[in-house]
Parts: sequence; C-alpha cells; structure tokens
Amino acid sequence: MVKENTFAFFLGCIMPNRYPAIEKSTKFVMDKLGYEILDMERATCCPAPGVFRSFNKVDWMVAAARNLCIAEQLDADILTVCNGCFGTLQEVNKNLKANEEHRVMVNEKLKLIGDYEFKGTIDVRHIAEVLGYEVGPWGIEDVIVRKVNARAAIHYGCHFLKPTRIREIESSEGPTIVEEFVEALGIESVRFKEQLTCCGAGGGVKAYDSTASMTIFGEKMKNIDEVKPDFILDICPFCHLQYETGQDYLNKNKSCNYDYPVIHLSQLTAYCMGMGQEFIGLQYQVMGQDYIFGEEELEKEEEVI
Amino acid sequence: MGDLSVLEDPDIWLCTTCYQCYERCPRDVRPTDVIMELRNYATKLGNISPNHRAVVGYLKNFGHAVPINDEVKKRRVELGLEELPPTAFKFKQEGDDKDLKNIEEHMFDLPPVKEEKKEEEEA
Repeated sequence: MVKENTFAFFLGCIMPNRYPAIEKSTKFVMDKLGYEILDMERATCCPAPGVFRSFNKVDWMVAAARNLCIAEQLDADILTVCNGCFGTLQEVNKNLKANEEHRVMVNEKLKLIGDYEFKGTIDVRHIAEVLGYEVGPWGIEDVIVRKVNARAAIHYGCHFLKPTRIREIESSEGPTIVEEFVEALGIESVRFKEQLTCCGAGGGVKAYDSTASMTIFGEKMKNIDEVKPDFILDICPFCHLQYETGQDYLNKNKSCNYDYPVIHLSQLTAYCMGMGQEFIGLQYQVMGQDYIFGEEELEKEEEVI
Repeated sequence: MGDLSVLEDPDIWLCTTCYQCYERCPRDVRPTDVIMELRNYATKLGNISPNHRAVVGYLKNFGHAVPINDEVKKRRVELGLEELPPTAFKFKQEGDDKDLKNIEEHMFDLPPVKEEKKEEEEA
C-alpha cells in the first residue's frame, strides 16, 4: 500500500527549468489541500514520449522505469503536471505491470544504471485528474478564497486523455473534467473551433521542424482569437511553452498581434486559494505580462454550530 | 512491401503523436504506433536530425531534455524555490553523477552521423 494523501512530485523538464511558477503553484495547491508532497531526488526527464520514444523504445522504457523506481522507493504515487511526463510514466508503468517479458528486460537493463528494480507498486496521476475527480469542483469550493471572473480558452493537449485505451480517464472527443472544475473557480469556458486539436509541439516536431510546428499552432491561435478569451488555460508545460513562444513567433514573423496570457491549471487554482499574484509568475512570461485576474472576493458564511 | 525509402523520408518525423487518427481509426490500425516503429528503425540507420541528436545530448549531460539557465535559476529563488530542482543535474553539480554517467554510457546510443550528411552539414 502506498502512503495516503501523499505524492512523489515528478517535476519533468519544462516546468522546473522554464516555468518554475507552475511548480510553486502546484506545491501551494497540494499543501493547502492537505497532501504531502515528496521530492523525487535524482529524477531525470520522463523521458519525453515524442523524442526519446521515437529514438529507442526500449531505452525510453528503461529511463522511465528508473523514475518510477524512485517513487516506488518513496512508497508514493507520482503526481505530474505535464501531459508528456504523464504520457510516458503512466504508459510505461501500466505496461510494465502487465507485461512480464518487458518487465524482466527492463529490470535487466536497469542494473546497468544503478540500484533499481521496477516492482509495480505505485500509480501515476495528473494534476487535472486529481483536482477534477479526487478534489472535485464540489471540494474546491470549500477551500478557495476568491473566484476569477474570466472567459478562458481551455486547451487539453493530447496526452492527458489519449490514447484513451491506456489513459482510461474520459472521452477524448468531448471531455468536461477541466471545464467542470474551473467553473467552480468562476471561469467561463469559451468553446472555439477545433478546440481539441494538438498545439503542434509534440512528437519531436517542435525540435525537428519548427516551421511545421508553427503552421499547426498558427491555426490554433486563429481559432482562439475568434472568440477573444481573457486567457488560455492549459494543463501541460509543453503546451504552455508552445502558446507562450508561439504567439511571440507569430507576432514577429506572421504579422500577428497576439497577447493572450497563458495560464496553467495549477497557477489558476493557486490564485483562487489565496497565493499572491506575484507568485503566479505572469511577470516572467512573454505574453500577457500585465494581466491581472479580475477577481471576486468570497464572503464565506460563518458556519453555525 | 520491402520499400525502405520511408526510413529516409522526413515525413515520418512530422507526426505530433496527437493520437487523433489512432482514436478515430475504425480498423484499429494504430498509426501512431506504426510511426514510432518506423522512427526507431530510421534512428538505427542513423537517420536522425541534428536537433534530435542535441536533445539526446542534453539528456545525457543534464538529465533533462530542456536544461536550466541562469535567468530561470534567479526566478526560482525569487519565487522561494531551491535554485536548482532536486533532479539528477543538481546531484551532478554536487559531484554525484553516477547515474547520469551510466545513462550516458548505456542509454540512447546513436549511430555516428552519416558521411554524406556530414559533408552536407559542413557545406
């Protein structure tokens, strides 16, 4: 049995090394919700499913298993805030639990790296699913101190829900988990054309051919711009990076004039739970630096005992 | 069957692995899995782009596909976080790089850059 109300926090790459405010926000949210968050010392890249799985699927599994072993040694389920990390770790964990041949092969190679053996004792979770299903819109209402009155364009990204046969969270064609959760935070979700398509960053495409990546992203932004949201809300630091640097690229190279703030679910939730705007970190981002959440202070009724 | 030119084709590297076709396919072809297999073969033949080689280098050197920089270190401190996250790179900085050395030696071994590619890149 893993420890209750405890998570081994898997940082990945882009969050700690580009958007540390998402890390700060996630810790704030989980702490306030009463979860214990453990450091995963010596963790590496998940490794990213788009690039490393493309190069060598076996080594991708071995490196992922090493990260899984670090959490197993902490006796805690893994928490990720990134669709890529979730994609790799959830998939490899599930596969190695079920496939003995792969497990034996991976454990053999793990011996070359260090004192690791995959046992299959933990699960891998994504913050959107922990907040959406475990805490729930019904639970978050009791712990927020303010709501944000804003219209958001919600971007799910790809690997949180797909492949659905492996993730088993909900339908990838009409998901509502994020909409229902953020509605409790005061957010109106605005629908836009081709809402559930990819941001264009994944699969190693951003590194391989940035022009192709930006063509996909340009379509995305055109559709978002039609509905003029207050900000773009994501659940993945890689999508976050694409929306941030991508708007800047389109402004400089394609005569666009976008300035939509890009906000991760952890950042929004932390703000509603009372974290100061300066820790949300928009001042460090490229887009929407001056954006200030339009907020509604909640008057909590005193409970009569 | 048997046409191996696909392993030289840049198109196999233009899939974002969004799984839209995989989810929709009424014949359960799982194109994303097929593309992954093709990329694994292509990599074995040395058909891997310089940018992708660099990403492998980052993993081996820093333990991250996207390494930290000085600006982000500063922001981390301003936010009240540790300057370096507690990942493999931090331990390497402190002189404990055993795992990273082993990863460098035993993982993601790529074939050398092909001669004709080398000439193209140098030209």
